[in-house]
Amino acid sequence: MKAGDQRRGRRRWPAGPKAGWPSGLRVLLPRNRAELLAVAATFGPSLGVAILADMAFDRLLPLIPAGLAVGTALFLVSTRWLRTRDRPPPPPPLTPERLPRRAGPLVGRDAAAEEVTSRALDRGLVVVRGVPGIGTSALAVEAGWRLAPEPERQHYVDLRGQDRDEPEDTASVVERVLRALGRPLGSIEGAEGAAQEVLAALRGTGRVLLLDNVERWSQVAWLPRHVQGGRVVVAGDVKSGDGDAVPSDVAVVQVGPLTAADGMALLSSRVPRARVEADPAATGRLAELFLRRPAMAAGIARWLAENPRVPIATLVADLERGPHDLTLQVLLAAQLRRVRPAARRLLTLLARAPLAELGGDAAAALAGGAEREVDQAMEELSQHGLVERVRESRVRVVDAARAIVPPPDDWEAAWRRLVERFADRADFFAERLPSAEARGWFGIEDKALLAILRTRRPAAWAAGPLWRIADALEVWFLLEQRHKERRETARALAHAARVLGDADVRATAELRLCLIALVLGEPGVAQEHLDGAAGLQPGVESWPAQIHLARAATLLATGDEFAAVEASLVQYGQALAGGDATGQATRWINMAVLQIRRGQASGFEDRTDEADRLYADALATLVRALEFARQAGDANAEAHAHELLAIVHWYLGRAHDAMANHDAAVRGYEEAGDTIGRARCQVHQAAALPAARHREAARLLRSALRRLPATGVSTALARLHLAVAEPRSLRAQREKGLAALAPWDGIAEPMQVTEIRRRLRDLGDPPG
Amino acid sequence: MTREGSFLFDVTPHHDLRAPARHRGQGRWGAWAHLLPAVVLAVVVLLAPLAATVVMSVTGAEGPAAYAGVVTDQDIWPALFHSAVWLALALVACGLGLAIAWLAGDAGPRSRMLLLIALATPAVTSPLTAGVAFRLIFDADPERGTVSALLRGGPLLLGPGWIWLVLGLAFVWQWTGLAFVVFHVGLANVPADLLRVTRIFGAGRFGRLRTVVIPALFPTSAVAMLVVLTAAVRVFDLVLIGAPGSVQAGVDVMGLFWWRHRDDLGDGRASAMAILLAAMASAVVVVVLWRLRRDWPRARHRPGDPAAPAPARPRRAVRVVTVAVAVVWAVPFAVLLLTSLRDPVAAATSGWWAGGYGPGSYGEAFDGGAFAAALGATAQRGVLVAVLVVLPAVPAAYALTPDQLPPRTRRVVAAVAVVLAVLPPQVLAVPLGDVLGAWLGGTVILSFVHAALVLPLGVLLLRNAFMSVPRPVVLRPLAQGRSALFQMTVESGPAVVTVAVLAFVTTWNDLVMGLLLNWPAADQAPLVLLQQAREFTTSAGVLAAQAVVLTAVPVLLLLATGRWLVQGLTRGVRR
Repeated sequence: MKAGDQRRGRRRWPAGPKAGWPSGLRVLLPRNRAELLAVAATFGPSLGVAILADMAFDRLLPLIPAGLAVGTALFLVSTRWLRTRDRPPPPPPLTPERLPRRAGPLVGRDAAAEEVTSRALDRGLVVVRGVPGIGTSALAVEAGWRLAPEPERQHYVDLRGQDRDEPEDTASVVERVLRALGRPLGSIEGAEGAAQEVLAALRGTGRVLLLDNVERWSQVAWLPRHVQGGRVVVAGDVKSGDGDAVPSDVAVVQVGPLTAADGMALLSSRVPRARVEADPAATGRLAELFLRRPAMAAGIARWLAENPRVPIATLVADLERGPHDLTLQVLLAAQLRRVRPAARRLLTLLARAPLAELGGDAAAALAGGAEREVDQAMEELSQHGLVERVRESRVRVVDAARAIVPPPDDWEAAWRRLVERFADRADFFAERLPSAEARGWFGIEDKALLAILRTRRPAAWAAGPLWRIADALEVWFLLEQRHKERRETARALAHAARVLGDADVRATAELRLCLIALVLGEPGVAQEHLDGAAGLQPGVESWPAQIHLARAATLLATGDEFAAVEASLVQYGQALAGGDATGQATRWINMAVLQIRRGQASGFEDRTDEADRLYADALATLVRALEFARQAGDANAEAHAHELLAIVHWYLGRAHDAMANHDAAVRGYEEAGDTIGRARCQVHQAAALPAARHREAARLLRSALRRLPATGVSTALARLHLAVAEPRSLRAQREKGLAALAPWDGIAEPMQVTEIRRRLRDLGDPPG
Repeated sequence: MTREGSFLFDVTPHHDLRAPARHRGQGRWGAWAHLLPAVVLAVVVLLAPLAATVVMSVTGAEGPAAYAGVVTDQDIWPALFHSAVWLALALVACGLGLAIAWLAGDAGPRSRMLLLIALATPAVTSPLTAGVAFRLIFDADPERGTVSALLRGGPLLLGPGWIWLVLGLAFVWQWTGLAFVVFHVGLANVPADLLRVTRIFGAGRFGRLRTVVIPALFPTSAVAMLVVLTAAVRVFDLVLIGAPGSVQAGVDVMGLFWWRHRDDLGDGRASAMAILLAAMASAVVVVVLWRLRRDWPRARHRPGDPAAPAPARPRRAVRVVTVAVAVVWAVPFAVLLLTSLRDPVAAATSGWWAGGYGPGSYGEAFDGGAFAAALGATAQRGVLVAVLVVLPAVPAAYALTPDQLPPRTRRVVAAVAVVLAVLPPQVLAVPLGDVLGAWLGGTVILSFVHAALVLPLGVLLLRNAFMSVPRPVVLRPLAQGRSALFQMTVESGPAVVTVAVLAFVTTWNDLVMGLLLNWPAADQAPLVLLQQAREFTTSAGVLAAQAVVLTAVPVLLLLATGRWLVQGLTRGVRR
């Protein structure tokens, strides 16, 4: 099954037609209230003056055309100004994430840093483990700099996500690591493929990959244990639970508390010596009780710097009175009192936000202020240790600070501003995909968008922004071929639509889930979602075109009811708007699919003449489809048409034409970024190779299987062909092939699925 | 290809991933913003003057008793009665249109086309032209009048009593064609299975007509009846020109009476008279259209539905009858054209069969340049009015589609539009004249008034068209962030053209507004014709020439946009 290409942006799905003058006119039309007011403000006076002049001089022409022309010119100028003003700030440049700056000379950590470095050099993978605030990250960063002093050989990934309570799951970690390494994401199935990518990126390069703030071993268990010529450092709490223990063959460096002397040395590096030595007893007690953790020490040093008149003994007495595990909170509470009201308000909003990390633009929306002022507030909070600067312009509220801030008064309004800002930005950048700017923005914000979409009880005002966010994420994840995230997005959309009582949006979500299930080779699940989408429409006459098409696709996946498929395709065609070239291309491609499937069934039943006739008909249909696809500028549809043409030519015995179309399909899918389509073409090519070229076939199939979903007909076929091409792996391929057809267990299945299953079962065991 | 090789490849469908069934909508404020320009125009030009007239009617010298005075006035009562007769004639025209459409169902395509052209052309001509043509045909002098020449010694058809026949024929001649066009398309969409069922149960031709066809045409009837009723309410120029001065009193209608005697009546009674006329028209329209709301399975035409089988009727006879009807309908044009091609003296003294052909009448018609200048000014005004109607009507019609305004609000607004569509201009004239004074004669202001009068009908026509656009087609642009308004407008192109043509033709043919608001300015072609008609008999040739020229423009427009006009009129009712 194939996914679409969103190459040219959301507003033109999947690609804009060659723009004629109507499209140019549409761009000029007012898009929002501000621009409508601009229309009234520019045309009204211009036309009014023209009318008055006409009444005074009793001339119809050319005053009114002149007035209209002046009004049009003023409108265009004002629109341009409005649209330029509304353009969001550019996202941070897509530079690879390098290691953070070193935290200065690490007091009391030299030996630990040396140990981390040597183990990394020795084993390739080392875990630096310590509780929060103990200096684990600082130590890992120091080791990273020692291992790779040149920034271009550094890769850094902070694994903290948007959800403060839940660590990032493995899939998300894989995505972020591969993105940091500049590797293609695509539809990488399984950890093995991801580990291969990491190996390929680091092997023999001398590069270091540092994964910071790792909470559980399971997040990084997929990493290769030994990278020749490369280093992987994992830092964080790295908790081990049941079945989640760090393996014994992995080097672990445990980071413990500082000694009192080291704590004192750390304090002395930040506080004037005279003050430290003024009361040695108090300082000694302070060091013994409170300076064992660098984070605490830094906080105390900061407090002392801001309160030069307060003796250390007073501080010690105050801290001793309170619970020792809340010392940092006490210090931060003291810091908070020194912060300006605007910054304090910003902190309360940031702490309340369900998103753990926000950029400057989002923070400005939350606070309802100008970005420059908000930036100053964030800087102030950072200097007081209340927030942590992450990357260039993003902040996270320190955990201890969250506990001390009161709830904000104006949370609802702030949240609304934030959600609407994200929706606007999502719209803006979705239109610009796959530009680097848009990719960069989505790469940073997609988790935040998904978190917003997952709001458990959205308010009524959130309907519009949430639907826009869902649309933008669909475009983004489709571009990245991340179908699991597409599924999460569609599920979140369905939930939000159910809560808000929007049946149309729920139908959209169900339809997307149906299509995703078809892509992932889950026909039963697809049928459930299709029934869900159809059930939300008042009648078959009101079905949108896409539901008819999804019905046709689901019918093809669950049986051979060709007549019903044809009826659905006819209804799809009737529901298309005039001039919808993309829809027509889709329609004709699917008509050809129907003809080819019929041909396959006829061929299987030894009705060869009928099969050949159907293939010949499909040829003509596909030529038409290709015309529409080119007219629409739909690269993915073109590639799919070429793929089917290759199949038809092969069935008709025209190997040369089959090859030419196959190559065109491969090029098209590569251009469109459709990895599944590309993988399917590899399976076709392997199937068409003669038995003598079984090694080449096996290579193609293994490459394809890395990109195909775990279940589905293509996957089962690939396993079947691989079992034949590589007899030594027959048993494994047979089991995996049958597993790939498991979604059809207990439901209706096409003849092809039955036949593949039979052939898999009939595969003999290898000799010996 | 071997059996084993049949399933070698996985042939996967292509998905349409464009977001489908989502409708963001504009929200109520957005919908009201779409309605705003039309509302402003209607309020300023129609509702405010209407309110002012109502106030004047109850605050005049007689107070509210002015209404009683109007109804019991011996001079006004006949005009009131005559206006009601015209409303009944509208129903006759619609019924005749239905009958001819029913008949034409069995005629061949060529005969149908001939009939279509012959019947539709009078709908775009001015009532002035119709009056001139019928007066020429029914001239009492056997030397001049065609019918009088045929009926040598027969009744005085332009005399008292018989004049109603002439005027009725002229009205029916003019408006039956519109009803025919609409019903012709509507009949083609009557579900064949319903007819089949009634035939099985033994219903005859008239039984099927009564029980299936007429109820199934209810939605279709609404458009046709609204336009024809509006014409009947506003009948003015047909009576002014078609009836000789000596019998005018016997056929006076409320509008004409009001124009002649408003100064004598006084503000109170004149206003009451105008309001009564408006109330009468509104009542008839509301009653008729309310009747049309009765539930009946909508005549939904599905692609692939078999056409209704033709009942046994001799086709040749039908063809002959159809051609005969077309010929009869073309007679007034023929008489007009032939008269215009005669010298003025010959046209004044003898009928078209007596020879004396030459271009003299046309020469005299254009002599001095006043007529040509009036044609130019009228054309400009027509174009401006077309633009001024289409621009607010499109968004207003969009606001009346589902998912914009709440259903109850939509019904109320549509009902108000229906009432405003039949508003007689007499209701507006005095208040507009008082407020705007000399400015009223200006091209732009007059254009706005014309536009406001056509706007309600334009909104209703467009609304019907927009509502027939398939929902998935509309939701596509919404899902892509484009305006559904633009998509709907594109899909309903024929309806937009129809509204523009309707606005142009109404302005081009208008006499009433010019007479009420712009007299004695002579920059309107129908007004030039009216001045010429003061000496009808002696200037018959010139009058005919001017009437032919006046008719040529809308007829050419009709021929150029005919297919779109038919689609535009019927599209909204082909559910």
